[in-house]
Amino acid sequence: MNNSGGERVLRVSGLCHRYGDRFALGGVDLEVPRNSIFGLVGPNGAGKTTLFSLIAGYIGVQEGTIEVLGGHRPGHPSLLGRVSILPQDAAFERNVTIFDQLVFMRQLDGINRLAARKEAAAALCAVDLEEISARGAVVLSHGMVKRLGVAQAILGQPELVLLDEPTSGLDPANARRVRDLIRGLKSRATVIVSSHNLLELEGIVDEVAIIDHGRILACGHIDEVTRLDRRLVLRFGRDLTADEVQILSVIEGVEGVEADDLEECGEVTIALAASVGESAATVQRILRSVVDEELPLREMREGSSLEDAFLRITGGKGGS
Amino acid sequence: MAASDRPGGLTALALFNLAFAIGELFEGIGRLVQRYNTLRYIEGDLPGWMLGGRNRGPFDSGLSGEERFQMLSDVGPDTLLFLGVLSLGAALLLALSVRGLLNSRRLMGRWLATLGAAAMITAALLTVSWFPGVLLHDSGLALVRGIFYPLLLLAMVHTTFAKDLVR
Amino acid sequence: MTAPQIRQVLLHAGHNLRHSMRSGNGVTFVVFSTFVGLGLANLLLEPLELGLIEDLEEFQKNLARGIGMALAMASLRGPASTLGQLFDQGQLIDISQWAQFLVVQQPMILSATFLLFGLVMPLLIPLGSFATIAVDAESGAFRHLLTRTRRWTLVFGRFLGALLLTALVLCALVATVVIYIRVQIPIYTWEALISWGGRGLLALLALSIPYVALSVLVSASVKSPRTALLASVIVVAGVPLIAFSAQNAWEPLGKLLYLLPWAYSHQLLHPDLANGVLAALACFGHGVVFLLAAIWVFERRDL
Repeated sequence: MNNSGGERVLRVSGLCHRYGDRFALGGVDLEVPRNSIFGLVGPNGAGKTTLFSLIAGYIGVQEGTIEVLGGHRPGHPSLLGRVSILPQDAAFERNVTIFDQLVFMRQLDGINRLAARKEAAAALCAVDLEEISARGAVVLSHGMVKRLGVAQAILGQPELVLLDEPTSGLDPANARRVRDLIRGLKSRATVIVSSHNLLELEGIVDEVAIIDHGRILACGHIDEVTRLDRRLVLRFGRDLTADEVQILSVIEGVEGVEADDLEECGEVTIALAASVGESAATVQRILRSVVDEELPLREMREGSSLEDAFLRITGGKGGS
Repeated sequence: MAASDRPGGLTALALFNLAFAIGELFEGIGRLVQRYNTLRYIEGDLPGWMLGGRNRGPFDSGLSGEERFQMLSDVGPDTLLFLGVLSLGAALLLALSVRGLLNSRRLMGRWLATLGAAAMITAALLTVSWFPGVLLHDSGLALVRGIFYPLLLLAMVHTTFAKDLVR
Repeated sequence: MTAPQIRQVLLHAGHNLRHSMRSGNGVTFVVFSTFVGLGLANLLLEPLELGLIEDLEEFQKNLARGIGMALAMASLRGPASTLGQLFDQGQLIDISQWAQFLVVQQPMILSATFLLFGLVMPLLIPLGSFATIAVDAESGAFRHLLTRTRRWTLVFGRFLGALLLTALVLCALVATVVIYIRVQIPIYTWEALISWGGRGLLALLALSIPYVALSVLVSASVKSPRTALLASVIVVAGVPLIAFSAQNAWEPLGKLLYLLPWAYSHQLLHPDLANGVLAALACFGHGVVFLLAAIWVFERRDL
């Protein structure tokens, strides 16, 4: 669905998957450019985890094709160590210390034990788990398991990193730490991240796909997706009269205006025309009208969030 | 956070320690009873029924009760007392180490288990070296177990679970 | 197989061995198997120790007949009810000579222990191998490994780890039994016991290969570790039960015994070494088939 230029690390085409007689994916097409952070959003049961499982090779492809890192099928030997994943709800071994587990994983990549120990220690430090590195996974809270999962996903030199809801269950400080880690990965890897927190995803992703009922509903650069739902929210020091609202609604580029009476103030939500360039000019015209009409503007924010777009596109079923 | 990250193997080892502690307890009590009867034999107080009987197998010495107690008196009541106390000590150490293993303790788990295993092996080896062979025929399996299990226990607490017994 | 793949296989083997001991399955398997083996040796020695056997020659004769009957039954020489008659008629002279070899020419208690343990061991092996795949498949822990390792190296490595654990147990057991018998029955020399003990150990090691592989196959095929343990034991015990029942209905159905090494495992202790080697090769072949099946299943399994 994404046709812009640049090398693609992942191409998904006509991907269908069913569990018994239930469709989990119904014809997914997707392309992910190299060294980007790609967001995958959708409500619960939309098919995100199934898509990740197929890309990682956990489950077999039933219909369609997946080409990873130069046309390899998922699970191909040449992908070993080049693709990593933070799977959803995968446990770590309870009888082995978390440090030894990371060392073992890194050794599987082919490096010696000493180097593996150094890298494992660094990865645990990156997610703030170094103090409990000698403990078994059974003592970890949900958030700690998530951070350990992130640590194993960033271990080594993966070229494609799949992160299934990496910040769910994390406190704000650790969520920020993980977001910073994801941003840091961009220079050396492509990251595909799914998250239920659309606001924070909006801050880190370059491209985004919205998936629902096993189908990609929207896909592209984040501005391309959100401009479909571009809007401006203005808050004034008093309620606007019908005439004042009418003035705003006839401005060129404005598709519609909704006015709400709030306590001792008024709020107006203005739907803007589609393209980014046009809407910028429209915003200027709106501001000029506000000044000309001497309307008591207190606050203005652009309400065209990923969340808004997501809710509109998926019919308002809430975050994944 | 969950309360404990004790590996399942430590739990299994603790349970085996408990079972062997009970076994050593009976071994020690048996040795002390043997000493008591040997002392009575030396003093001539042993009832006649304990002096009779004779096994007659191809490999059995065919010892009568009297011959058996004569050999035990040659081994010496003090030796029997020492072996009995050693077994009871091993039982106590193994029993205490159960709690240490379950709580992943270095001193109470790793080192009491080590001492218990050492006491168990010592008791078995001293029994083999101090007792005449014919007296060991009915306790051979116990002796073999008494050497095998402590060796396994030592190997486990000092290698596989060494990093877990650190608290 | 490339060097990195061999390295991965060895890493998985070591990890499986260590993990098995740490999880408790390994410890339980080691202690339980050793004590069952020692218990069997003790069971055979007990009548002698307690002086219940007065005539050694008579005991040997009876033991040889009992072993002969068992060998004839395992060799599918006919229904159990007719074997005594066949022996008396001298129609099973080769089996009789075989039994004499085991009882008279070799340390009889050691021979009998090997034969008995050879029957029990297939039921014990699942204790040490049932969790090889099923535990991590159930918990999802494999998902952290599958982007770093090929599935077949994982199965093969874990199989080797389980086999190594079994081999360690067998070595410890045979050494202990040899020492035990030497202490209890001084009529056998160390040389005789060590030489026959070595042959018996090799036989048990060969026999362990297909059963460990079978356990890994079951572990790779089912979703829960408990089901894996139960299913392994049922398969191992079920094959001879079904084969012998079926043989009574129609004799050729007794060949069902060949589904597992039950039909030829006793050949490992045959007086003719060539027969023993052939049986060992058959065990190896059976093991390879089960292992390849385990890899095939695991390669296609959704995890």
